Amino acid sequence: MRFPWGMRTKQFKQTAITHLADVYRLARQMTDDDRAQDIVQETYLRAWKYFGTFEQDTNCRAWLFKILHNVWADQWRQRRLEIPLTDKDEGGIEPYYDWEGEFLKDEFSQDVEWALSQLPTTYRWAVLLADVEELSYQQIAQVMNCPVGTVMSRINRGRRTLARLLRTGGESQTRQVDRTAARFIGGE
Amino acid sequence: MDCKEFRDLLDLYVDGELSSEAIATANVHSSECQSCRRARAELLALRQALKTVVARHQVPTELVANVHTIFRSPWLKLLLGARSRAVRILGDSIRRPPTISKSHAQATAPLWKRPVSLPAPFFALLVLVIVALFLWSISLRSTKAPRADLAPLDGQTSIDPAHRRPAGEAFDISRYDRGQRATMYKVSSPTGRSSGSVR
Repeated sequence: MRFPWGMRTKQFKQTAITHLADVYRLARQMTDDDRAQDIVQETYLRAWKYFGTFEQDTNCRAWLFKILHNVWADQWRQRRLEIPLTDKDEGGIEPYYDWEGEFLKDEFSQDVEWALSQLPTTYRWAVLLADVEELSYQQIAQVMNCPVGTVMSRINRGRRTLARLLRTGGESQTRQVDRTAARFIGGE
Repeated sequence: MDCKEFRDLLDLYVDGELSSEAIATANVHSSECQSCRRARAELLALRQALKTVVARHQVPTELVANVHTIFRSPWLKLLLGARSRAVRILGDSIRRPPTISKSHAQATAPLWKRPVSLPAPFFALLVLVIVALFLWSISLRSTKAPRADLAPLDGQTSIDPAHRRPAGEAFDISRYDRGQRATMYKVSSPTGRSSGSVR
């Protein structure tokens, strides 16, 4: 759908620019500030270029996240700074969530920020889109260009990995030894 | 629903991806099982902590300005781009120190050695102006060059002010006639009376 120039600008401001903060915050979780700004600018350049193809009654925020993910993936492929995560299940992930009151502490936020930065990027995308941006699994699948089943798996593994990082990162050595002994005694 | 099933569906339950029937069953189990209820509460606390962490980062003002330039009209962009380039070329070397992102060689190079980029229309206009000036200079040279057949026979190539004819004296054309009588010469003295021959 093509707009005259002025109307197109107005539409773009009303629909796309209003989500600038969300797009930047998501990009900021994937990389440092300078690169995040470059990625966001490139995202909006592409969004402006292809704004004529955007259906006005659909979710513009999800559309922008999809462009952001594509821009980030293109730049990641160029740089290859991170080893891609394999599908092999990691040893040490408990079958159940072992939430034991660690996450209601006031100083939880700093640990969360650190643990999020340690999370593999594919898991990080899935967890952020689900927990922070509250997109549906179908929308996340469109953003990340993968099946819904893969989205569910990545969210599940991402949350487990986050929990494990938070537990092992904030726990003292003594408590960790005690817990290991308890599991051994319990026959797990 | 037992605890294992509840834990398997915990992600979908918290994300609102379960059917209404499954949600009702999970609600019942959650109300009965303290451990599962606590697991759900901890996962929700983790989600809230993630939102808090992400919300800390504010959008930089320069990013907002840069994004707003994307959908400006192309003529305004060209004008602002030319103006900013002129300011950068003339002003940066004096006012602002080199930024960290520029290479050291480029930052310390003299002004005339720095690369200057011009948009294509300006470059084309510049080329046209240069070509027009060149053609005009050629045409000027061709009109100013004296014709050989009109050169004075006595070797005098220019009019010496000391030899200029006083006003009123007849103009002697024979000095310029090489025997090839012109078809028409009509000269008049500075006094206005015509003289000379017309053939």
